[in-house]
Amino acid sequence: MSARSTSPSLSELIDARLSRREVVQGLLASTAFAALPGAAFAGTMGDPSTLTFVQPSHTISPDQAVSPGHAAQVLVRWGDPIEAGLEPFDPRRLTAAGQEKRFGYNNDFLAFLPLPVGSTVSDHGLLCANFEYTNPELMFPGLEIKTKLETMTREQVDAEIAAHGHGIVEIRREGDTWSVVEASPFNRRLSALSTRIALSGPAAGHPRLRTSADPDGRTVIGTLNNCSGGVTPWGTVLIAEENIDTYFGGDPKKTQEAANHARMGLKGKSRYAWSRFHDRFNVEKEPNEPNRFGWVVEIDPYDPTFTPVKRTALGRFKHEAATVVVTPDRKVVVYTGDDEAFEYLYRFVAARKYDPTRRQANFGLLDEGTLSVARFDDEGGLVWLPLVFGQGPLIPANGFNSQADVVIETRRAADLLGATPMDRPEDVEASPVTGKVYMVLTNNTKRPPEKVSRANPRSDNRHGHILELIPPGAGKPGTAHHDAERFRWSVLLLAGAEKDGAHYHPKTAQYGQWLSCPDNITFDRKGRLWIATDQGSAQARHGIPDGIYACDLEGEGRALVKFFYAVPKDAEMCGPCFTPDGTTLFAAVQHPGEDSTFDSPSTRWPDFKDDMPPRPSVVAIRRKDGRPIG
Amino acid sequence: MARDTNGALALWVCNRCGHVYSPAEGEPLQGIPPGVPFELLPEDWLCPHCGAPHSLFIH
Repeated sequence: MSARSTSPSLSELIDARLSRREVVQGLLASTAFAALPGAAFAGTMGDPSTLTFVQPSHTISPDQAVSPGHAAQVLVRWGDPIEAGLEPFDPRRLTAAGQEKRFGYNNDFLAFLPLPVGSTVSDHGLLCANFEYTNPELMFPGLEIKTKLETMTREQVDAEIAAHGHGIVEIRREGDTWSVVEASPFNRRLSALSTRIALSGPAAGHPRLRTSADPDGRTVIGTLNNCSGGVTPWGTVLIAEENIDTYFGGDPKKTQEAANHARMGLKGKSRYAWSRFHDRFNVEKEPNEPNRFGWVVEIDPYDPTFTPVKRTALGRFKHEAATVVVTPDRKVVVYTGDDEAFEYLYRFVAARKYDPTRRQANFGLLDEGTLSVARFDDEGGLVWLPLVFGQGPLIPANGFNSQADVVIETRRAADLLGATPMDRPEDVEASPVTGKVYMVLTNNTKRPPEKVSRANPRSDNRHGHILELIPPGAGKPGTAHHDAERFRWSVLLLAGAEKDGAHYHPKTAQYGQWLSCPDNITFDRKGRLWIATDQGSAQARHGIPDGIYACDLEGEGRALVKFFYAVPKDAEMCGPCFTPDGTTLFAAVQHPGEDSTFDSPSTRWPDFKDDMPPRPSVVAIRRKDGRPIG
Repeated sequence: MARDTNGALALWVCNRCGHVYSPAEGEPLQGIPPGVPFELLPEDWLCPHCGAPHSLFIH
């Protein structure tokens, strides 16, 4: 679809970057096909993709839709009990205490942690889910979008705060049916209302993290706006605090943290009513409280008594995710993007090495190491710039008096180092098959023509794109040097329709579908990319549903995108996650019916009962013959 | 023209994503100069963060 790109220089540069690699890959693919003749004809004759599923209708609907031959089971919904003996869910009687015993709102990141720990069991495990944010007008009857900030009660606000955070539930599959084990001792809710979370790393205990409720600056109540996350090799889960600015009222200009709060987006107007009832969400009363959010949090789902930890060494910004990989010499590396227009991609390399023989020995690994930020050069090189106090501009003359200051104001430190402003970094994940890293840029309508670069090649970028980052040594499992100072990069795809200057495999129009606003990604066992999308309010304007798409990354079908699953109307797709055997794909349907209200919802998915509003839910997708998906 | 209790031009927040429109700052990258009140933004103006329409902003 590149023939009608918006500008000649754009298509020239894409073609230049693609042609060299495609020549090489074409040769490799021919060799592979010669050795394995059966593999070449897995798809439709003429369709170069290795993905053989049939695409569902590419249309927006009040219900979900999945590829024919598959079933999408609703596994767990907002409000479902995660302890035994509770009443059936009645949103009209929702309390904060009740919400803390039930699945939270707006599920996002999902992880499947097999039981027992360290195994690859695929029909029994722990489902870990982030509960990113709330839509109170869909949770409670009687609220209107325009007036809710004034009319919400303390009880409603507290239930809303309790619906934020994270949930761990034991799940089991019998035959094709997954179910929640309600009485499991592993089941746990982390809420923003009551869960105590420790701070560790360079900023723990720093005066800028101290509040009247926590004069030591070492314990925070709750975690907020957890978008995506990651799983460590030692079986803990990382969750990423993203848009934390949206919770705070009060005028940040009246605080000693005015510049810091402004850089994180606080402007004195919250989309929530929380600051009416809780002083800690009013920056004029607790100016340091926002500094205690915007971190990556580590949780041990296998230990229900574990105190979650905010790992400040990984920096403070609007973390989309936190993806963990291990280098050939057992160094632990975390990739994490900052999800806002013109923000950056970061990487953390732990100082100590991973010890696969002693699980507990790895629990402090993310407290010491080097945080870096990415600079993308137009020639296809990527340089990691270390964010280390005392080095370069990160000195007292610029307001940095310690590494604590550097991590608290990570964005400003990265500005000074000359990092490359990107088109909203979403998920960043490394292929388990090749070690190549895929970076999702969801969109950026604010990029003007004069600020186009090769890594962000479109102005008014409405549909987003995906970059491929190649560490030295990549190409086989476990050989990539993710800790290297320099990578190479290229464009995998530019999303959108043909008229938008999109760039996919040239046969995408014939055998696949276009997508818009890629967000979260994962890989199947063959290393193919599965892409969840979130167009936001543009869903109706673009006329295509959000959902799950997939494409090959290597061989003749590279970047030929196919459509697999559609979320119901006004939802976004989050958290795609396979079981180790690849037979179940979990996915999170977030905010079905957004922009409507409890009393007049635009969909009642998934229950479709007159007395029940739409409910964010996790679906478990399986092939009807039980074979691996894809 | 809506004004907050300090007499400054009112802040409006996107009900979708929480982006705040501040008239004091405008949206320079969208060609909106400082000083434009929310009520005077063009009808086809969209949230610069998430693309939500004008009508989904709340005060």
